[in-house]
Amino acid sequence: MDDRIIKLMEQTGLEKPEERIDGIWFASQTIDRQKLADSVHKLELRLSTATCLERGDGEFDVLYHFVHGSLALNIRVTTKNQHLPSLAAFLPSASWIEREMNDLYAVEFDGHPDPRPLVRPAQVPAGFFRKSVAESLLKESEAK
Amino acid sequence: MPYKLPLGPLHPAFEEPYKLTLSCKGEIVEDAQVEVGFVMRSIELLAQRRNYIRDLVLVEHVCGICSNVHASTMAMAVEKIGGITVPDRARYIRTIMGELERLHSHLLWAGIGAEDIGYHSMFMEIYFLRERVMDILEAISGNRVNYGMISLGGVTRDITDPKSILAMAEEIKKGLEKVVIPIFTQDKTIIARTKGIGTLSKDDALMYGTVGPLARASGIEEDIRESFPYAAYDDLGFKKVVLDSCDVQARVVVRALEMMESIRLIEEALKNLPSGPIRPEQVPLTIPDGEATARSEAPRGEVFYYVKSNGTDTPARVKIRTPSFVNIPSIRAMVKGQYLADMPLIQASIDPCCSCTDR
Amino acid sequence: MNNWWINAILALLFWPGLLSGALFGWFLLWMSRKFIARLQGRQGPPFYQPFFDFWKLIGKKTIIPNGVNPVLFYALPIIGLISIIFALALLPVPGSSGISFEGDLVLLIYLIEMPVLMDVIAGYVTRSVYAQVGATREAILTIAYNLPFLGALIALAVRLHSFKLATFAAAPISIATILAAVALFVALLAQLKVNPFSIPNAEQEIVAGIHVEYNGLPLALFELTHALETSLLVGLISILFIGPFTSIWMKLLIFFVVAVVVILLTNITAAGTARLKVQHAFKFYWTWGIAATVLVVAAALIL
Repeated sequence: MDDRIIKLMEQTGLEKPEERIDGIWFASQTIDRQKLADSVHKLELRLSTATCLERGDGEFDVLYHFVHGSLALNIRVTTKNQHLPSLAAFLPSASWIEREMNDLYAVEFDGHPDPRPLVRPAQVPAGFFRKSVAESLLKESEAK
Repeated sequence: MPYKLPLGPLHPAFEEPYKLTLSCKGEIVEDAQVEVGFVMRSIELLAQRRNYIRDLVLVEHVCGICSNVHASTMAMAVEKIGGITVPDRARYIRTIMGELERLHSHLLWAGIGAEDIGYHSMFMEIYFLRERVMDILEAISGNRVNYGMISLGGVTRDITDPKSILAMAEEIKKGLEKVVIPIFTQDKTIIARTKGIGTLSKDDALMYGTVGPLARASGIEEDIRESFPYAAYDDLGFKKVVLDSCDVQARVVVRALEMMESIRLIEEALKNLPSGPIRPEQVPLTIPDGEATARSEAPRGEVFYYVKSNGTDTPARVKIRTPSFVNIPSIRAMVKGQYLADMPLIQASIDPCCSCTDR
Repeated sequence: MNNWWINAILALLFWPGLLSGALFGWFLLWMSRKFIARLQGRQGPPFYQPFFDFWKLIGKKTIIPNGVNPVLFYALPIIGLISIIFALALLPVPGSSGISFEGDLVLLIYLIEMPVLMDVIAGYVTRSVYAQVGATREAILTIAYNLPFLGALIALAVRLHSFKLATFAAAPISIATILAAVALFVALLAQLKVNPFSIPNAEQEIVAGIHVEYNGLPLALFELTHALETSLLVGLISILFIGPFTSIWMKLLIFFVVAVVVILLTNITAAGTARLKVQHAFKFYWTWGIAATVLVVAAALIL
């Protein structure tokens, strides 16, 4: 396994790495955002993006994708009442990603320094990528 | 007296709509606010409503310039989940398409960069050359912008006559060597306008997570074609271009040298085109349960795809991260203390693509 | 006395004033466009294009931006136009029936500055930030390019012991006149606002700057002023070369040829350069401009 992953595990307390064809996957509920941000910055890992997945029970899985060269690192966290602590407070590159996620899935990031809408047009509600909202919006536009 | 100067959403220097609100003092810019979202089309959501075959066509429309790389990266992710292997000839053709696209995108960027500093003659020269690249793309794929070349497991059309395309590539190479590169690296007015302008330090570049030529001009040694080769880059050998002067001129030079490397890759790939099929005989319509990420180097930087499949013919989630999405916020770090006159050039130097950013 | 008035009106309206000045200016502007187009592999407009541009603008409805004084909005281009017509009438072109008196050079310099001043004011009154930035740039550039421009004219005046333009037109060609022509040419690039000094009207930076809020008739007047300015400034260089010739037709021919050559040189420079920044332009004029001025003065006094 890559040195960076071992160092990252030491510094942030991530455990149980799962190696797959497209990189290393972690799942963690308790990871400290400040430690993670400091650690990835030291190790020159760049935050590629974060993906939001609907779980079906009203909560969301958020996957943080970090990359460095051939190394791809994915960290999965789950929201609690559609809330997550913000990574953007410590890592500027997460700012737009979290703002966009808030627009599309209405996941709230606590402690985000600049929580304005990013891509959402004013006439649609936040979270319009959620299955239920998207379906109803579609029906509405078809009815017109 | 400080004042606010809006650039955009519609502005003569912008290719696409986005808004920069500059706080200026005289001709000095003190801060900038970036706003995007003017061309949002919800492509990620649409992709979750179509099957994989239609999705490849859909994601091509994320960007009008780097369309091929989106389809090929999506295909890479789906191929990873489905365990589909791509035949050698298709890998080479994908590489050729990718590099032609880079050439066409960098030339487009160079033209717009020249236009932004009022160098119309250069703009005309470069667009003339770009027209030749589009002729090649048309000869190969039948299309000039959205090529429709990628299918699951391979490509849709074969290159039947590599020799004629080699000859066309030779013509472009001459144009690059004689006109574009000398002017961009030696012309006095261009150097006066680009040197030491819009500096993005390596630390800032890392903080903002910038990718592509922008990152490589700030000394970040990252090119996925070299560090994690896909398509045929492993076979062809690839040398990345990294500079550490961090200014607009470095970005110009990185792109200029990348164009030369692209031409070399295209010629190499055309000369060594392996024989064989261009796609597997049977491509499954449904993809098994699973999730995968895929990355490839678009002209503007690294494209990232995450695809989750639920065993049907429709993906459960497609996440697209385009290079401009991480590059555009870094404008803020570049503009502080710069002259207003440099703003069009600084924003152009990252090659912002708003259709990509908003999706 | 009656004769003097007729001559003055002829000079103002026909030769070298409004009518011929506009035609000559449009011709020169068309030549620039055509020449640049051919250099860039484009077709370029037909020769009557500048006239059509002007005519089209006149036919358009004029919209006065909110909060702008309409009198001022119209008065600025009119004042600029009138001053440039008077300046043209002073130009001692061959065959001019014009007004000529000792000291007309000083008046000419004042009149040439008027449209520039009107431009700057227009930039400020139209309440657009782009126009204001453009106006600031134009004001800064004026200070820069006037150095070689005034330097060359004053040096020539010192050499010829006269502030009368007719003396300039009659003077023999010497090293001093050639150097003065070069200095005037250097200033001309910024006066015509072409590359690399197309700074106040930079389209990509400040959306064409000063005239961004102007439209319709007032814009047409500004464009006409620009055409007249072109013929005046180019003509000013041309008259330095017509001295040695006696026949009026020969004089006219040389005047015309020099003007065309000057315009072509301007456009070769414009086509081969990118736009500089204000501080670059300022530095250029205050180093090379001073060098040119010193040379002209030295040549005027010594040679």
